Amino acid sequence: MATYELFSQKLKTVNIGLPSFGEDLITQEVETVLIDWQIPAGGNTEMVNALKVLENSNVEEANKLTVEKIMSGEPVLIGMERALDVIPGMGPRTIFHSGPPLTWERMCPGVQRAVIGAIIFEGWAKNRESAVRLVNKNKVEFSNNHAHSAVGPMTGIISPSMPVWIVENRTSGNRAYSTLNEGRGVTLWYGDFDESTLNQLRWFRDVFGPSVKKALSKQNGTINPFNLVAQGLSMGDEVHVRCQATTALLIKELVPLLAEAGVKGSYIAEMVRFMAGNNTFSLNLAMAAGKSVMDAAHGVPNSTIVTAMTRNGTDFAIRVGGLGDQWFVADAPALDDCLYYAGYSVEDAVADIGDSSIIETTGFGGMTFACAPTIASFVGGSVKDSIELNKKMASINYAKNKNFAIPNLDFAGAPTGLDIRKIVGSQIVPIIDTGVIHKDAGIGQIGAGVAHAPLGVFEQAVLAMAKTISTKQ
Amino acid sequence: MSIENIIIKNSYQDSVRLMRISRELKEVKGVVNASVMMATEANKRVLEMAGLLGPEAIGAGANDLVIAVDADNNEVIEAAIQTAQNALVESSGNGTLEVQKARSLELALEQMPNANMAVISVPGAFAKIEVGKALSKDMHVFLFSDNVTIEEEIELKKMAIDKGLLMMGPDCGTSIINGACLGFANVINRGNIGIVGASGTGVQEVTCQIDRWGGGCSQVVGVGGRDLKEAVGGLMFLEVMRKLDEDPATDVIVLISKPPSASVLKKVRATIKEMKKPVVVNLLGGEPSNDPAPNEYFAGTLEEAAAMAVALVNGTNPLAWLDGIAKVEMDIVMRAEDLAHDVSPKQKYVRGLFSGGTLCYEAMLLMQKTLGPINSNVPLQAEQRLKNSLISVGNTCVDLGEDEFTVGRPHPMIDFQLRSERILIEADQPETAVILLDVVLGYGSNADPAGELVPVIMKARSKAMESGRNLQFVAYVCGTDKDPQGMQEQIKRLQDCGVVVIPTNAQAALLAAYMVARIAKDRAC
Repeated sequence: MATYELFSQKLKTVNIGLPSFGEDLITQEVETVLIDWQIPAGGNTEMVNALKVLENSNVEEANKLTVEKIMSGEPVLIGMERALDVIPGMGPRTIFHSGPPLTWERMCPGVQRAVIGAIIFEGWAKNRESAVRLVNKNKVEFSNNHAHSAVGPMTGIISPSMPVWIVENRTSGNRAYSTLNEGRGVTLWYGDFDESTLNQLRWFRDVFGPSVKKALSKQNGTINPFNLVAQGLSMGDEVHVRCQATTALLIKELVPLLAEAGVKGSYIAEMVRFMAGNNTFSLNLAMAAGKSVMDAAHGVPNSTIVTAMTRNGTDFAIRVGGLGDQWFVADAPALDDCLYYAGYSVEDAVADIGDSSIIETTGFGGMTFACAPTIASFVGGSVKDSIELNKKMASINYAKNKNFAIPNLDFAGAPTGLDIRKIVGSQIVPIIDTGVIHKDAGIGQIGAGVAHAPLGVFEQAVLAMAKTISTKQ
Repeated sequence: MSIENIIIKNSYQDSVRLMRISRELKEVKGVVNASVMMATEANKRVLEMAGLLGPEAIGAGANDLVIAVDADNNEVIEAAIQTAQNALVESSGNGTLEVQKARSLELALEQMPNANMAVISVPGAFAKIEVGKALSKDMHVFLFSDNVTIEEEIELKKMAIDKGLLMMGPDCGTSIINGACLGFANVINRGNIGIVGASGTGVQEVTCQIDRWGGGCSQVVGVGGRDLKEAVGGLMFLEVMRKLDEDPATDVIVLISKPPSASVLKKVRATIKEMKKPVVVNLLGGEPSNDPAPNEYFAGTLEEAAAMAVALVNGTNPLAWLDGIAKVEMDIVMRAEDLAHDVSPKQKYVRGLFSGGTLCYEAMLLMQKTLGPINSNVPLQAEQRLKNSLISVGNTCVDLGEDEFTVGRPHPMIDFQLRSERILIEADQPETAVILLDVVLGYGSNADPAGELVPVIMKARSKAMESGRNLQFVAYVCGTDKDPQGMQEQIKRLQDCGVVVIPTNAQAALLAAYMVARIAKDRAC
């Protein structure tokens, strides 16, 4: 048994409580940070008591294990197939959507429109009226992406014949899926469609999907989405609303594979032009990679780490590592802190929507906000603001992932492992970088900014976890 | 109303930054609507829908920047365009999110990632959460807070021991780690004596006496008053004993505690037997072991513990001190003779008013040998408990730092009001012969105790004098010259107003006791 390492280290203190103790340490030239302490959980006794239960070594061990699983995850792109052929639970008349489970009646108009668009795209109905009739006759089965190892941004619609990225987490062997990103304009993910939308979906199905499938079939596993993410983070992306660099990197990887696989030159040109014109093209691949890692990290008993955050314009929900498949649900928050295009405001906007918050759950997006100085305007305008915000996000995560460095934070690792204890204790909620779409048809994106996860879902989870642990003892 | 489009050719700007500038433009007085965008086809449609698209923008390309303004008159349009052009060249600084003082432990760690010690003094009901967070971040903890449940204390201490961390407290007043004072502690020389203590002012007294004897301390670790209780079982105390035994900077170890429960005492003694280094044991009022280990040295008082430890590091005979103390005691008796004069017939009792709990405890242990049982709010025997802590009876020592006095007010080592009031009350009692005080210096304590006490003592003495009583004050100043208050300065100011200042707590207690005994003897003659 050796003595405490502390005895041969330089003392560095954090003072929590009476400031005079900390000031005395500063007088003694001990490096000290004073904390402007606040009663945890806003003084809510029920929460404080639950947090006390959760502050123990079993939870610590569980969280450590969860975060190790996140950090050791190694997602690789292994292919692109029709959703029907690969996604577990995808049936011939099934449509998946973002967020927690949702009935047709509760879907926001944008999600309903996207569902109708998908039905017409699949050829189950000729027009909107007959599509709605089909739904009303229960001829379409709905489920949420997350229940099927899948994720989709915004409305998140996946229908059987859409091509999907297949990502395998090499560390644990599980797979995750996501669609192709449609880009800007009138699109299903933005909750709307017209003939051009359907044409693009057909092109995905008939040209883009099969070409990528062909390109990957011989060389699967050579594209590592997290490598692209790590590089993207050092090139000004936070890989959620800003994916320019990551998209460029993905194109760079795909083009030689497409050429080598013998894909027609005119197809390749068309595909590259599409990808280059779509700043969020790489988002869906990064989401599938995140999903494959977070699913593998889910299920550690006693873990208080959030393994999924998702929303669908109606509900906002989280899933927690040690709390099984239960979703903790609240209303999807209004996006009142976002920046809007000329002539639009929060009144026009669909509430927070999409599975893309898997990006923040994995430890990118809002968790790596300082990587993308160009979006500092979302949070006040200066780079300093985005750095401070990023530190705030770090304070509610369990660890830092050194695989993903944040240059503006002196290459600190990306905050990883949102901990419901820290969120409820500090009342600092995760931010989610997001686009904003119009409620009505024909308009599409009207802004962008940050959404704030509702505190209530984390509070529900804290109480549930405290109950679980107390019952066990 | 008119619409103006200004085109800046080949000027790429990020869209998000432009959205922010657009928002600024809309805030310009008189502006109906405005937007700054790259003139892509998609953006031109946005401008069109907003009614901002003019012929200039229609002709612009995707690499051109459009400043589009809709306003009441040309002046406003010009102002808006100027605003936009200024904003485009300015840095986007002066953000609105101010840099705050850390609001949580996690945020503090963002500022100082390798912090290794958390000093925690939040209300006890919340302490577990903060301690748990600190330990999980591999930080050692100094926990001043009280009102932490014993179950929480045990859980947290086990967690700390598993992680190889110190968990000092709850209710820990004093530690000196790597030479830095945590909580209430005195500035002493660094040296090779390591201390483990379950008593705050007891530890302060021993460190100050070590300093007075020319020794110094490697580490001084408080573990909180409950650690040696049966329930906690000496978890942290025993752990620190073993750690100090392995510490290359420590040559002699001193243990300070009120008598532990029998089972814990057994563990302490068993641990001493396993240790390599000499261990000086001061269990206030405890008895020496019948079967001491060869490396165990029993000290009867706090100052004796200090003297023995210094002798051990100097390689001199630790028992030689006993010869010295015999002479010191003789001197004290002589001093008592000198001071116990001119007392009025009714004056017969000592009234000890303490701010340090262990100092009070030790004083009672020593005084009762001469004066018999001492009444107190923290009595050595239950029969001596004061019915009312505010009213002294016979020979009395009061610990003013007990919870009953500190609810809603700072500790008496910081706030002297309570003690000042009590001094005046005792001075008014005709039976009071001697008022015994402890004055604790060091970090954490009042910045100028003499400044607080001198006017009160002057007033007390003169009131007594008016009633024909010679009221004596005996004080012990627990501190060093390196303390922020400066010991010699404090002593001098107390002496200047007639206070008899004695260099150790034990000796001060003995002097007070002998004075009262002497008065009683005179009266019997």
